Amino acid sequence: MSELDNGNALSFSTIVTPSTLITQDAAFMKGHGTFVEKEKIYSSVSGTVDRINKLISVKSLKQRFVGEIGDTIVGRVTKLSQKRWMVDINSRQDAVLLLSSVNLPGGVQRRKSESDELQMRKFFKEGDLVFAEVQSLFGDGALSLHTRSVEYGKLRNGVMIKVNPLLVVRSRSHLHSLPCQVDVVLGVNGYIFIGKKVEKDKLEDISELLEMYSDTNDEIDELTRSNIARVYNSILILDRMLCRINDTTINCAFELGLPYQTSQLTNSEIADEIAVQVRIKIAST
Amino acid sequence: MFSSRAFDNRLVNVPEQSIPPFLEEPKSIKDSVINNSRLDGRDQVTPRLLFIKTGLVDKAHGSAYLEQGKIKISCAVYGPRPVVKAGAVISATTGNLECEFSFSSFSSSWRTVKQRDTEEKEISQILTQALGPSICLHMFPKSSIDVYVTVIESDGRLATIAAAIKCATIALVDASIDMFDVVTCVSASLFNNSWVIDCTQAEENEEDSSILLSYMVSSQEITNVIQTGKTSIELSQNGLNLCVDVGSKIYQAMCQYLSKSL
Amino acid sequence: MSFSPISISETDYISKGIEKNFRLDGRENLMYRDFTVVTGVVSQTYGSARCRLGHLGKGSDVLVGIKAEIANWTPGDPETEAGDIGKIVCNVEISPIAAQFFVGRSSEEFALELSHLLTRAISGPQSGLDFKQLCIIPKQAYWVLYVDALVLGYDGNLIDPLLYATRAAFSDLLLPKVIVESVLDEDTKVEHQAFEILDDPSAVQTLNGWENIPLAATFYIVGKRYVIDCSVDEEAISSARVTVTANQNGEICSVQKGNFKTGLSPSLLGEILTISKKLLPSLVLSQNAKLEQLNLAKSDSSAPETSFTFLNFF
Repeated sequence: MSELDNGNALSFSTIVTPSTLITQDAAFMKGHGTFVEKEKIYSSVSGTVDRINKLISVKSLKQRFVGEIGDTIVGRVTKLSQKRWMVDINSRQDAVLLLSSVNLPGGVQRRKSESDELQMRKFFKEGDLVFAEVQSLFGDGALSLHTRSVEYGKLRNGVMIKVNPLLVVRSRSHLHSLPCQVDVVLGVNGYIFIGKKVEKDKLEDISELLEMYSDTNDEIDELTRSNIARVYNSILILDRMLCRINDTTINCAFELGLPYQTSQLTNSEIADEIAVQVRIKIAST
Repeated sequence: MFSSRAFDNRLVNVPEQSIPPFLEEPKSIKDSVINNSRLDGRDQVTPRLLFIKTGLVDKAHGSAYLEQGKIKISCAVYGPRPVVKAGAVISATTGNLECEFSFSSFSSSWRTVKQRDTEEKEISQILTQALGPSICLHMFPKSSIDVYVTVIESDGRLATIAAAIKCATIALVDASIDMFDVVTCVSASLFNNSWVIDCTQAEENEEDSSILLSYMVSSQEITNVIQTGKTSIELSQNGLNLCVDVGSKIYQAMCQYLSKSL
Repeated sequence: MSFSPISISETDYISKGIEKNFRLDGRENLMYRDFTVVTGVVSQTYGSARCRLGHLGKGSDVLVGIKAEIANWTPGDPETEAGDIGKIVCNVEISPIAAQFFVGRSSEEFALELSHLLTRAISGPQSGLDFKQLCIIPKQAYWVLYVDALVLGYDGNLIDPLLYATRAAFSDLLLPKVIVESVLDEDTKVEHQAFEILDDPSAVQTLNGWENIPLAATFYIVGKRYVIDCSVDEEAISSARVTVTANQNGEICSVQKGNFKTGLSPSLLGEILTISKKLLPSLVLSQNAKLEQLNLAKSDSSAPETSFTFLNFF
């Protein structure tokens, strides 16, 4: 075990490896990515030291998603069981979506009956993509989700792409309508959904309609399809070049890619070029 | 099919190596085949005569026995029944089709040893692929249909597989499992520039390339195709067309038997 | 091999895109992703190559190594019955590294299917290899080439990179030279032939005819259309798969259908054959160019020698 300092906590953004002594000061509390031995705090993962007041944690650069209450995530239904759906959210455990925490057609106030339980597959079935928010945490660390908002629910008219979850930063909004008529749903768990833009006014009354759980796609014209593919490739580039993924960077990469054909974007030289440009642009703002 | 023997401790020990005696094989089979005078008197596009009988295995839910020249194959179908195979994926939307193909030890000119190589497993896969599209698997969620094929005697590798597929499809019909269509299967070998249907082992030994085609006649769908050996694209197309034609004729014979057997 | 389920709307989105000849990443239906190939990656083999097919240095990844051994000729083996040829044995292994669903028995079955597919394409006269060169002493000793492929990454379409890597590995293959001489047996006074392997590392020979080894194009049928080089999602929704291998002259070397969900019509198969005749010779040419470039880079002694081959080359 190497000791990096004497008594004082390591400064923010120091890179540590497992078993590095972070502090001997008993006043600090251990957070994620650390362990305590003989009242000293050591790191248990390699990454950067993060200190919030007296709480010390180590944030690793490559980590599976750890959910917190309020996170907006994109997940895929893997299993149906009693009154609940199990959802793959790129975390160590499947999240739980209870039948009682989804909006059912017929209004928010509707009571869930036994017949709803019998026709759960009508709402979500295996393979479906869900946009949801973390409602609470179970004792074993599993997440409980809810979709009780108009913008949450089943995702359609598009595709999902998986990226490194640390590139998606938690922010106020995770549903972005890009200027190119494409909606991007950035799940903080690293699942990103790209789809056709949903009209805002339609969003309001959609909860009244059965369409909420529909599986059929709208008509998607060729321009939208090609824009979705461009956004898809832009996100692929950002992920590979480890750029932060938010609406600004996606837009930036999208615009830089416009001179090229969609299928050319995955060419390594072009991708390299775009990523460098994106970095410069972000740094300048 | 190889003659080298891997040691298998599950069986009674045999000498490490032994060689079957060689019998004089007729020479210049290739010439006689090209000249359209095959040893058994058939012409190039005629398959061997087919004998089919259903319901010979009384424990099975469906069974069939097939003879085609020297080839003798027996097949039993169990199912649809709950999935019994360990580790199988149980699907809520479709049923499982499991095929198991095996040669008897005395089925070919050299003695085959159980578990010796991966050939039986591969033929099992071919069977699954050939029969899969013909069965209404979506009607049997969470259950499995098991097809067991045993070759009592074989003559020609591809011809035996083709016969096995025909035998299995008839056994499936005998088991009254819902099917979209009856699968026929034809093997052909290329000698110089002409395709020859249903070759015996002696003929297959001298082939230039080969096709095995499983076909559903009324829906006009190929369920499995394997072509080995170098050909031009035109020849390849010709061969496939020929197989489809012959397959249609065999299909009629099979259907005729099936309706008569009722 | 079982895929994780995928939603109905995604299936619809992907298949509609294929109908419009515009796929998720903007590729047309008959467009490959980038092939990356390196040869001479495993020093313990006589020839090896690694091929990756995918975007931005990710994707399906296959490593092929060829080992040569000498076998005694025995009568009764149908493959070497003639006595003047050698033997090629192919084996494919799928490492659980490649993807999560390659664990246990299902991956074994798939690996077996790939092994037989590879055997069908290259172990026989259709590969265009000079099997007579593999014979050391007629009816006495011959070379056995063990072609072992290891799948290290999976992102849809394993078969095409498998053949691609195999051909590259054969281009890299260097067999030791063997001298055959007559020896007089002192007891029986009978002359017989014996061979000696030269241990001089520069006395090596290439295997003739590797240029004729076919490459594969695997067509996945989605709805009424077909795509080549599909991604995992496209593979999950495809109903049938046809692999065609053809050599540089556009001659078909093998055709094989896999995946048992549905069949396909004979006319569609004909169409696929015609397309692969156009597609594959050009793929062979592009691979030849890549291999030549690799050889140039290798002979350029000023370039530093590193084990860069096993890093991500992106």
